Formats: sequence, C-alpha cells, structure tokens
Amino acid sequence: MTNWLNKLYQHKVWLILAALVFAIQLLVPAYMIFEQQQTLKYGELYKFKIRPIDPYDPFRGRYVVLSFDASRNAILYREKDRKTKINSFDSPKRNDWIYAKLITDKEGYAQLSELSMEKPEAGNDYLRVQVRYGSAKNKYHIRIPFDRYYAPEGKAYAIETNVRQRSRRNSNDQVYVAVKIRNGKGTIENLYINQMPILEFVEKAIE
Amino acid sequence: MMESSEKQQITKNRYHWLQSQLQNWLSQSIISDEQAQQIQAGYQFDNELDGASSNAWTTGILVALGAVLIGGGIIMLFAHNWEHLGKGARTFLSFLPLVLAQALCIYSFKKRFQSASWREASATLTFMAIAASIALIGQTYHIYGDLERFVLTWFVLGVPLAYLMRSNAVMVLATILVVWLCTFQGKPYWLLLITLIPLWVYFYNNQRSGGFYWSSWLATAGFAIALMISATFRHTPLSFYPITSLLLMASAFYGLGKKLFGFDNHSFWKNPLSSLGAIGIGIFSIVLSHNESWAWWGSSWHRIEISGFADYLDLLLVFIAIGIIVWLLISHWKKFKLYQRLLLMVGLMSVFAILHFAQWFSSFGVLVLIIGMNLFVLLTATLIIVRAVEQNRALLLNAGLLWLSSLILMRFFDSDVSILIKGFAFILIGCGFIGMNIWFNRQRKKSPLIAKEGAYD
Repeated sequence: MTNWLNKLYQHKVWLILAALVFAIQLLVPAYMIFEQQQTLKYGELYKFKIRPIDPYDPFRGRYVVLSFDASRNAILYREKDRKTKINSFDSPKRNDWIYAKLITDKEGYAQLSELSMEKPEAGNDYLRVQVRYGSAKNKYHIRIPFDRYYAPEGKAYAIETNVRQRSRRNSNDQVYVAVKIRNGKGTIENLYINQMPILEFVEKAIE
Repeated sequence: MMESSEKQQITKNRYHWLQSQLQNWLSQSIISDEQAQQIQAGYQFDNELDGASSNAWTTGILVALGAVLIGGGIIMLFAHNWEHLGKGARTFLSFLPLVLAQALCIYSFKKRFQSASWREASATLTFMAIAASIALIGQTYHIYGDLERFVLTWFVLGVPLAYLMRSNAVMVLATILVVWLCTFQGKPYWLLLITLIPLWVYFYNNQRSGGFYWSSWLATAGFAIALMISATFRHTPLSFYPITSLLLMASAFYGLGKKLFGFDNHSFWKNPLSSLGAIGIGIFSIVLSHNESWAWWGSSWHRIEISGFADYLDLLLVFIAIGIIVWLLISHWKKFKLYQRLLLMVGLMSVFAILHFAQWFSSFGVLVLIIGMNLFVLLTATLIIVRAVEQNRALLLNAGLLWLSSLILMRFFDSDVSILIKGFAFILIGCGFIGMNIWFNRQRKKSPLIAKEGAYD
C-alpha cells in the first residue's frame, strides 16, 4: 500500500524532493524578514505609549515586554457584526484573532477604536489583535501582538529600571514605541524616551 | 511434534548456540545427520531481532541528543556576543544551523542511509534547527511572537523530514507538536496526525525496528491526548463524557492492535495499540465502576452543542470507534477469546452515556451502568487470570490480579467499614498476590514447556 514511498528513496527523486523541502524551510524565515522589511518601508507610522516590563525568555534571550496604554481598557466590538451573528459561536472567543481600527489621539499617540471579525478591505489603519477576554457591554480586552522588544543582553533590565525610575520621578516623560503598520501587521521601529532612542538613553544613564 | 511451515526467527546468538549443540549431539550420536539438518532448517536467525538493531537505534537517539546540545551550545556562544554583531552577521548565523543540518541530511542520504543513527540524528537536528532559525530571525528583526502560528509553521516545515529521513524520532517530535497545538484552541489540530499515517504504515510494513515500537507507543498515546485536549474547548460528547469516550477509544485501540499486530502476538511491547488499549480499559473501567455519576455524566453546566466542522468530526470519531469495534467483533468473532470479546464490548457500553440514554434512565439508569461495570471487571479479570494460568503467562496473570484487586480495594475505600478491616483487606490482597505468583512459578517449573512471556492478549 505504501510502496510508493520506496520511490521516494530513489536517488534522483529524493534529491529533488529534499531540495524542495530544504528550500522551503529556508524561505519561510527569509520571507519573515522580507515581510518585515516591506512593513518598515511602506507601513504607516504609529506611536504607542507604553510601560516596559522585563521578563526572561530562555528560548529567545532577553527582551522587554511592552505594556500598551492603548490596550489597557476593553474595546467595543462593532455593532454591525453583532446583528448578523447567528449564535454565541460567532462572537469573538478567547485567543481569536480579530481586527482593531487605529486612530490617533490629540497627543499624537495611537489608540484602538473598534473591533471587528472581518478584515478591512484597504488602508493601513487597522491592526490584527488577539482576544484576551470579554468584558461587560460587548467590550473585549485584547492583546497587541508586537509586545516584545528584544534588547541586547544585559540591557533589558536597564531599560526597564530606567523607565520606571524616571516615570516615578517625572510623570511627564513620554515613553513610546514607534511602530510601522501595514496590512494589519506591525513592526517595531524603535523604543523612545522623550524622542531619544532607548539604547542611547540607557547608555547615557549608565555613564 | 508440531509442524510449522514457517521458519522460526531467533537471534544470531541463539542460532550459533543451536549449531554448537547440534554438533555435540551429532558427535555423541544422539541424533542423526539428517535429523540435525531438519532441526536446523526449522530456525533462521534474524538481525532485526538482534540486540544490534535496537542498539543502533539507541545510539541514534543519543547522537541526535548530542547534536542538539552541540548546536544549542554554538547558538548560545554566539548569543553571548550577539549585541556586538551586525544585523547581517546575526541573520547569517540564524540560518547557519539550519543549512548545516540540511547538509548533514544530504550527506546521510548519500553515504550512511543504512545507518539508523545517522538518519535519526540528522533529521532531529534539522527539525530543531527549523525552530532555532525562526526564533533567532524573530529576535533579530523584532518579529512578534504568535506562538500558535510558530508551532504550526514548525510542524509543517518539519514533517517532511520524517519522510525524507525515515525518522522515528521526528515522528515522535511532530506528535508532540500536535499535542502542543491542541492546547491552544478548539481547532481540531489532531487531524494533523493524519500526515504521519502513510509513514507509519510504511514502517509497519518494512521497518519494524525498536524505534518503530517506541514511536508507535508515543504516537498512539499522543493521539489520545491531543484529541481529548482539543475536545475540552468544544461542547461535544468527547468533552462531556471524557472517561466514557476514553474507554470507547481504548476498546477500539485494543481491537485494532489485535487485528494489525496479530491475534497470536502476545508481546506487551510489540503491540502498542493493544497494550495501551488494555491499560486504558483497565484504568477507565475502574473509574467508571465508582459510585459517583460525574464520570458518567460529565459537567452539567453546559449542553452538548454540535455546530461546525470540528464538532461533527468529534461525533464522527465516536461512530468510527463504535464501527471498528462492531466490525471486529463480527468479522473476527472466533479469533477473540471470551475475555477479549468482553474487553471490546465494554467499549460499546459507553454508547449509553454518550447518546444520552443514561439520562433517560435518570439516576436509576446510571446505577445499572455502574453495577454492570463492576460485574464486567469482576468477570473479565477472572477470565484473564484463568486464561493466564492455562497459558502460563506471568505478565497477563499479574495484570488480571492487579485489575481485580484494584476493583476490590476501590470498593473497600468507598464503603464505610473501619480502617482496621480496610487494613486487613490490603494485607489479604497482598498475600494473595505473592502467593499466586509463587504457586504460578512452581507450576511453570513443573511444566515441560517454556511458554513465551506476554502481556494482555
């Protein structure tokens, strides 16, 4: 029944298939880089106000977890989708990926305005986010996916403490990430404290 | 003498021993030349049975483990100086482990494909390198982590390696990834295991090494775990009656194992499906013999709601399992011993719970089912013990004893008798165990025939 598998181990067949498989294995990470570069190049720039936290991920090295002001409150799920829903299964569930509309507030920071199950047709003013849990009145708490900033070894902790100390002393400090957004996907450009890139800032603070 | 047309497979060592003994007997004129040749013709040595093949496989795993450690170490060495490297260098180093591992696969194919160690090691290394590459690229370029998609990508990119390198280890690793995926959401990710079936069938037909049994054990257990985890996110019979569903699944596994690995194959290790099935039946029947309805009724907070593909799939699986059992019972009725028929039929009993019959009976119905389950364990365990004594099989005997005594002990725990009497019950059963084994061993020594050891049939 599975004798066709024996053909797989013929010299030529195997080499062709292996070349194909290996090429795809290499192309996937390569495409990840390409997509990210495209986002950086053609994406829309948004600034997200944050508070960084520093955990340790043994798998990927040190990084700073970003806690966004924009996702602190629950966000309203769009009315239009509610009317078309058939039963409880059509409303967003935990860990579902849905779309959030992006707007800019008076201070120039990004905010999320409404959620929807359908992908908007055009524009770079929406973001793919993950549902964390539902809250009252058809609102949902969501997770913004680009919530990690990989810092060079040893710097993550410095970033976190610096920001925390400063914001305690001076709450007027503006800490934010600059994010390029394209087709619902975001890529972090840099982390800033008062318009200064975070690494520069931390190095100055250490000196 | 028993005539058998097939040559008996024995290990190389035993074959040499037989040869030397035949020479002895010849020189002492116990047997004639002709008889010696006849005897020798009845046996054949098989390298697969030899320790050599299983050793090679163990070496394979160890080599693979070593390779992964070395690879990890190299990544960490670079990671230490990560910040001093430019983006280009980091990208290069992220791809390097994967490219090297792939090169090793090609080398293994060209020069060492007969060696299980080389195949397993290079395949495992590549499998791990895929994850390492994606993770390192993600870190270098601040690409955000969506764990579910990461694991899924890893699985899709990794599975072809199992086929290319004929690797048992990758099969096991892929199974683990499927179990992991099932923990994310209600999506029926267990379906991904279907991609491994052709390879498993190929191994089943061509390459039943130690690795095959290893990976079959793990893949079978993995399937059950993946299915049950993914079902917890849904409102289907599988999530409402987990224990009864598992019992049904165990019965189906048991019967399938008998069909696939042979009705006369009594080896515990070499029939992963039947052995796991038997263990499952043993455990879940004891749970269901308990005088509490949670095991039968599941949660009462929700109702079963079948909507969507994944839910229908769950339901379909229940019917497939029932179908397998009924089909096996009808087509192979005579090949199954009485207790084996009972082990299969107990799976069908779960129909009452799953299809809501139990609720129609209300609490009285559940009582009937619980009593039925107790009688089933009592009867089947006794039959197993009798059979084991008849056939001289120590493992089967102890399995039957263990099953029977756990039933008795469970009932003692439930009841309100004093701790003193409970203590006596424990001692009595312990003595029974030891006594039975001593008696059994004496019987065995008396009998001229050294029977093969085996597990549950």
